[in-house]
Order: sequence, then structure tokens, then C-alpha cells
Amino acid sequence: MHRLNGIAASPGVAIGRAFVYALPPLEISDARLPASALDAQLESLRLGLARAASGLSELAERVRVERGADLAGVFEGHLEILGDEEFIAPIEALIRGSHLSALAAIRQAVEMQRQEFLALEDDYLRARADDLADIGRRLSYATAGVNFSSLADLPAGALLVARDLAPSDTAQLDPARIAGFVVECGGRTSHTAIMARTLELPAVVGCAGLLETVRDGDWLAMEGRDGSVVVAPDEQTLTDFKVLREAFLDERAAMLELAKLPAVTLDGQGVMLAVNIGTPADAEAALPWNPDGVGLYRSEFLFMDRPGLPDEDEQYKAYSRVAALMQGKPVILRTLDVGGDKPIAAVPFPPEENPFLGWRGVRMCLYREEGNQDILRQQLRAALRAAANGDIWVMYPMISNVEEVEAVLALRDEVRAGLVAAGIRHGAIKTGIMIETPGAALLADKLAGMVDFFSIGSNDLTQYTLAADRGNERIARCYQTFHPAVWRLIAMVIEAGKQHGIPVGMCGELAGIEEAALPLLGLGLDEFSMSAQSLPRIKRLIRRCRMDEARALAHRVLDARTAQEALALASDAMHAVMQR
Amino acid sequence: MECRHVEIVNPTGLHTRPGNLFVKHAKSFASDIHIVKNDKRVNGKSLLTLMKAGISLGDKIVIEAEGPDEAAAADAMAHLIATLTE
Repeated sequence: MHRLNGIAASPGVAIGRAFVYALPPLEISDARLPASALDAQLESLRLGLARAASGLSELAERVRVERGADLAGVFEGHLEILGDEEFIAPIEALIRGSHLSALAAIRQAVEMQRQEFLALEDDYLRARADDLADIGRRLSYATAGVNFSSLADLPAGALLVARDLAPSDTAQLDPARIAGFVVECGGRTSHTAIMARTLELPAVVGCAGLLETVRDGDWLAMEGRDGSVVVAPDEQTLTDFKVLREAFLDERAAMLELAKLPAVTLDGQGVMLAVNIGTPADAEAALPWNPDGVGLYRSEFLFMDRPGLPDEDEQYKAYSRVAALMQGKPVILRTLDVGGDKPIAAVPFPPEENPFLGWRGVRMCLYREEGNQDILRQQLRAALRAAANGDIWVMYPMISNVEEVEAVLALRDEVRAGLVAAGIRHGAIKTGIMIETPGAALLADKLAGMVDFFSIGSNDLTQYTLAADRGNERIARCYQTFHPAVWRLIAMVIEAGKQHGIPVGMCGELAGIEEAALPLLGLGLDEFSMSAQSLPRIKRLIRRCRMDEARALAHRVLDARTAQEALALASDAMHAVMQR
Repeated sequence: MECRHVEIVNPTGLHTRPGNLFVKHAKSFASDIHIVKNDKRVNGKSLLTLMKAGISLGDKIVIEAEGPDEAAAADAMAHLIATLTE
């Protein structure tokens, strides 16, 4: 028995035999060959192409049966490229013209093709460079006559052990056949780690000494929450891991079972449970939890970590992808929400005395030099165009008065008229505002008549109402999530929404806190938006309670004197419901 | 020569799978088939060049077909682009 430690990358417990994925390195020389040797190289390329093609068509066939037409289509595309003159001719030209060996020519030609993909603007097509690498690798091994064991050949139930995994490796994996990943390289944000979390497979990465210790077929036990890996575990260790695994799988199964059920109270009141996302990849990762939509799409992720602004087309594509992934369920897009407290490179933010009270959210988009509102205009154009591909709602952050709502509505109408005049395909959007300033909450009855929906941003609403920066450690105790004053504002906002017949949601952290679920439900909140992982726990609570008890609880919370008192009430009610 | 103007409506554009579908279909016609995007003109029967042309959502392209079955080919390829959903 031997214990190793790595970085916990994806939760779960796995026990299985190691499948060590390590292709033998190919010896490739760039030496110039004599002219007499070239015919043999061309012949070996032809043989390699034929072998690779037959391997690929077998793989595509098997994948079609085991995993469906979608993934099979990728390998059929590879097969098409392998037979494409535009792919083969440059390789042959390098053999004939530069006197290279077949292997060296493949390496160079594929690298040139990859670079052309990497130069493309569309990020989705740019990622196809990985397909080229995959095809090139398969062809190289086939040409060298080395058996290319693909990850698609993995025996069922195996634990995959590797130095590192490329996107093109994991794309071939059948998640149902594999127990987990252990890799020697990488960190929590490496491709392998992200992939494992998306596929919900346990994973340990950055596991030093792995390949020296583990041999193909060894028994392994691993725990993806603390990063421990045991090679050839003894009987006691194996028993411990089995117990751990059962507990984890039971909980996971219960959560996934719950994901299929609607969020409805015992007496039949339904609410919407949505997810908060930053990118199309987040939306994809949330799908197993079966959300009722996206309650907060933070568009600022498209604007961060880059020197300039994303253009309209790039935004249109990202918004359309999220809309397509949600298959007609609503996607609430929040317009650019940045400021001195969270700046982006493309907009110079002058130093401010109080950035949280300053030029941020919709203010940054509206109050610009020379009335330049092009950032918002472009974003609205992209959103309206993307609405042709799904149900897009747009909401504006940091609204604090009626004039700002009038300004964004006018801008929306202007942009829509421009699209109509130009005959550009677009769809209908709903318009809403975030309620996150006390001013907006107190004026909610006037604002409600102007828009299609509200979404309460509980984090900012709490910090502004209590005048407490929660990042400031000395006063962190003043930032009280259950402060009755905050709850009274929330109640006012929901009531104003009801009066005007518009839905009210919440996308702050409070919406994903278990203790808050019942009182928010009791106040009449229509939509809860949270991180995907919180979703099943909130749903479980909602499905176990009745509206009359939720309403009674909400009354008591509003009537509490202190946050501690309100939290105690909510917590007791939650535990009582959980006992059912 | 027959030309058809179409807009790409599927969210992921002409990447591996939809591109392969296009090429397979194009090869079933005797006519030469090209795709024009801005100043780029690429062979509609080569998946590699099609993918490298970077044709994605919202792009307006022209399908050109030239040969004995050019009208049928241009119609069929335009129809295929319009019905991609992935």
C-alpha cells in the first residue's frame, strides 16, 4: 500500500484498476533525407493514412452505438479531414520538397494547420486546433506503425492515470465507463479539473510521483474532496473507501433525482429555480441540475481580462449559445456591471472617494463623456439579435431612480428601431431592473409600472441598506444578511411587483442560503437564482413546506428586532421542514 | 454559375460536425461548390478549408455552384445551411 497526495479537483470517491494512459514517444528526426529515400516515405504516409482512417471509422462506429450520433459526428469529421486533399498535399509537398521523413512532414504540416486555426476570431472555431492535433497524433502513430490506444478503448470502471490530459483526450472519454481521473500535472483550474467537474467525475490533479508509483492494472482508491490517492490499498483502507463512496453516491443520486422534479410546495405553489452564470461553459455545467433558466448572466465576464471591448458579434454569439443551451427557458442577461470597485481595462476609471457609491453599474454605461452610450447600445443590439435564438430578458444593475429606467428604455427602443430599419433578424426581449439600492426598493411601486420584471440583488442591497462594506473586516459584523431592515425592503419590492403583476426574482447570495428559502417563499418571491450546486438543497426545502407556514414565518422574520432573532426563526423552521 | 445568399443561423457555425455535413452533401453534386465570406472564397468540398474560413453565427455567406447540376446544388446547400440547428 502506498499513499499519495494531490490537489482535490472534483468531488467524489472512486475505487478501480488503473488505466495508465501514456503513449510511447515517437522518434522524429528533421534530418534531410537522400532523394532515393523519399518514395519509401510517401509510401509509408499512404499506409499511415489508410491505417488511421480505418481506426477512425471503427472508432466512429463504436462511438455512434455507445454514445450517440453527436460525438460520432466529430470523429467522422476527423475522417473527412484525413482524406482531404488540402490536408494531405502539404504533407507530401514537405516530403518531396524538403526531403523530410513522413513523420517530420506530418508534424510540420499539422502544426502549420493548427496555427491557422489559432488565428481565427471565433473562439469556438479556434478550439478546433485541438481536433487538428488529435488527427495529427493519430496519423503519426499509424504511420510509425505504433498501436494507437485511444482513450475510447478504456476498460469499464477504470481509474484513468496520466501525466496530463488534453481536451482532445477527454473529448473521447465516455464518462459512464470511467471511475475517475488521477493526473500528475495541473491545478484546480486545469483542463482536466474543469472537465472532471463538468462530467461530475471524481478527480485528483497535481499528484506528484504518480507515474513512478502506479502500474497499469494496479488497484487504486481516491477521494476527490481531499486529494488523497492510495495505490494497492489494504483491506481496511478499501472498506473505508467503499463506505465513503456509498455515502457520496447516495447523496449525489438523491440530488440528481431531485433535479428532475419541479420546485413546488406541498400545497402546489411553484417557483422558478434558476442559476447564476458568467460564461456559456457555466450554463453547460449547470444543465445536469435542470435549472428553470438563467437568473443572472453576468455579461461582464466577456469584458474582463482583455485590453479592449468585445464587439457586437462576439457578444451575440455568447448570448445565443447560452440561449440555445437553455432550450427556450428564460435567460436573464445583466448588462455590463463594472465600476471602480471592479474595473475593466477598456474603460478608464478615475480614482473615486467612494467607488461603491460612484460610477458603477448602469451609471457607468449611461453617464459618459459626450453622452457616449455605445457600450450599452452595442450590448442591446447583441441581446436583441440573440433573442431570435431563445428567450432573453435584459436587466440593468444599480438603478436608483425613474430617470435611469426611462433612459435605458429609450435606448432599447432606439436600438430596436435601428434593427428593424436595417432588416436585421432579432427577437423580443423582456426588460427588467435590479433592485439593489435602498432608493430603488423604496420606490419599487413606481418602478414596477415601467418594466417587465424585478431582480433583487441582495448583496448590494444589504451593504447599501446597512452602510456596511462586508470586505472591511472590522465592521463585517454590521453586514447582516438577516437584518430585518433588509427583509422589510425585500418585502416591499415583492409586494410592489405583485401589485403590478410583474415577477420578482432574487439573484444575490441570499437566494441560495437554505435558511432564507422559506421566508423568501413566504414573502412571495417568484424566482430564486443561485449557483448550480445550491439548487438541489433549496429545491428540497421548497418541496417539503406549505405556503401557509412559509407566509407565517415571513411575517415573524419581518417583525424580528435583530438579525440574530430573524435567523433563529428561519433556522428553526428550516430544521423542522428538513425532519419531514 | 448559380449563387445563393444565406446567413449562418446555428449557434456554433460551420465547425466539425455541421461542416462535415455540408461537405458530404456538397460532394454528392457534380458541380464545383464554393463558399464566399467577405473576401475569402473557399472550396465547399474541403472540410479543412471550410473550417479554416471561420464561418460562424451571423455571418452572411454566398454559396456558388458551377457545373451540370448547379441550380439543384445551390438550392440544396442553401437549404442545408438554413436548417442547421446545433
